[in-house]
Amino acid sequence: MLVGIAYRRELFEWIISCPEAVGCVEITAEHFFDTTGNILDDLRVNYPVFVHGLGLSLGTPGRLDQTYLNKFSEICHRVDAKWVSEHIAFTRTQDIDLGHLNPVPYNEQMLKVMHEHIDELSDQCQRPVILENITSHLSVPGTMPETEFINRLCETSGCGLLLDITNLFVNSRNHQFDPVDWLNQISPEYIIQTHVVGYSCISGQYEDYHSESIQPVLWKLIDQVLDYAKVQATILERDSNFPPVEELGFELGRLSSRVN
Amino acid sequence: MDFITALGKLLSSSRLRELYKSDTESLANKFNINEAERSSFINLDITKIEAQAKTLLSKRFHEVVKILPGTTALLGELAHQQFINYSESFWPEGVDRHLLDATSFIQYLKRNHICFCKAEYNKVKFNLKRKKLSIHYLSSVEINGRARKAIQVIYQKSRSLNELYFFLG
Repeated sequence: MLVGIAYRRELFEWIISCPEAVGCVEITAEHFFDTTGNILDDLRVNYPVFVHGLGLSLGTPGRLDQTYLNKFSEICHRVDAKWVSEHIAFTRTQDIDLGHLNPVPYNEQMLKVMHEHIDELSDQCQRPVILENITSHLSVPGTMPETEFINRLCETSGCGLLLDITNLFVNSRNHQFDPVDWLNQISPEYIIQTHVVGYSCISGQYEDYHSESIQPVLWKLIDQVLDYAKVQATILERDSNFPPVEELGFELGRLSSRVN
Repeated sequence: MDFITALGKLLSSSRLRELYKSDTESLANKFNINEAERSSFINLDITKIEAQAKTLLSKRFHEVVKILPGTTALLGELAHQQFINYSESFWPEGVDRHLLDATSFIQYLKRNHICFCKAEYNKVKFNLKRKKLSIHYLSSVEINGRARKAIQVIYQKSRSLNELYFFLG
């Protein structure tokens, strides 16, 4: 299993120095849409790279935004992405850009919408597509549980699951369910990649602010996921409140030693 | 209208959420939601929709604070409420949406004669317009508790924004 980090500008110097702990890099496509420098080339030369999307809004009915899709695809080709990932979510509608991830209803219609968009994305990028589970305080009424929706989507579209273990943990706390039960309902062969980072807890509400170190209870769930599925890559996804790079290196080292 | 468009409308407008609470059926009729998705719309948990709407605004605010630390510090405890007051009037789009949000928030503050950090506003515009160099006159920059006039020079070097201040008098 490859173990690596989500590229953020604040970590540029460290990542580009090729520390032993970093075995691969995930970039967020839209952070590079207007990049003219050679950061992407540096990353491609030094690491296996995965491309992650935030704004394709796969859950919005209708065709994907072609301008966005073209830019996304260009980044994929430039870094020779191993695979591309997006979310099981919508971020905008025909008339408004909400800017962040929102849950979709788990029903037959949404399966069709997501399937069409996975095909569109995979055709354009010429790479495998994997989709990530999100956190949300909101559950939208549907006709099937999230796990069934994911299994069916993977089965019918050929996509994989990017299991965000922190998101699973956060949802399990906010919506009171057992994350291991949830995990056991997902077919293990669909879990291709994972995201991990510490969770935040404010006034009893759990959040995925990507700003904390991984807590012991989360390490336990990570172990359970890695025992359950043959994951191909794990990405540490820190966005803010960056610790010294040694601490990030330690977390990556612990992940590597866990699997290798 | 499809369910996702209707949900987007609810999440972005407190007025529509109030309408949903007072008469869900009427709003569903007004939106003309297709029959297959109507029951999903009718059965939304409005408390959870409010929570999600709040989360969306919090995430926007969090991004704007990162871009405008000086302005939000100047506003202090009022910063969040001012942002809430402003936020529904404008939903930024595209990859520059956080910068657009920050710019638009400052323009709102300016229109309403509320304090903001001019030097920071200059930096946001600099980033948004992808400039290499810009020079500004600042009538008041506080240094060690003393307000001074200054020239602000913003420039791009080694992938990062740099700035210099030349104090006058």
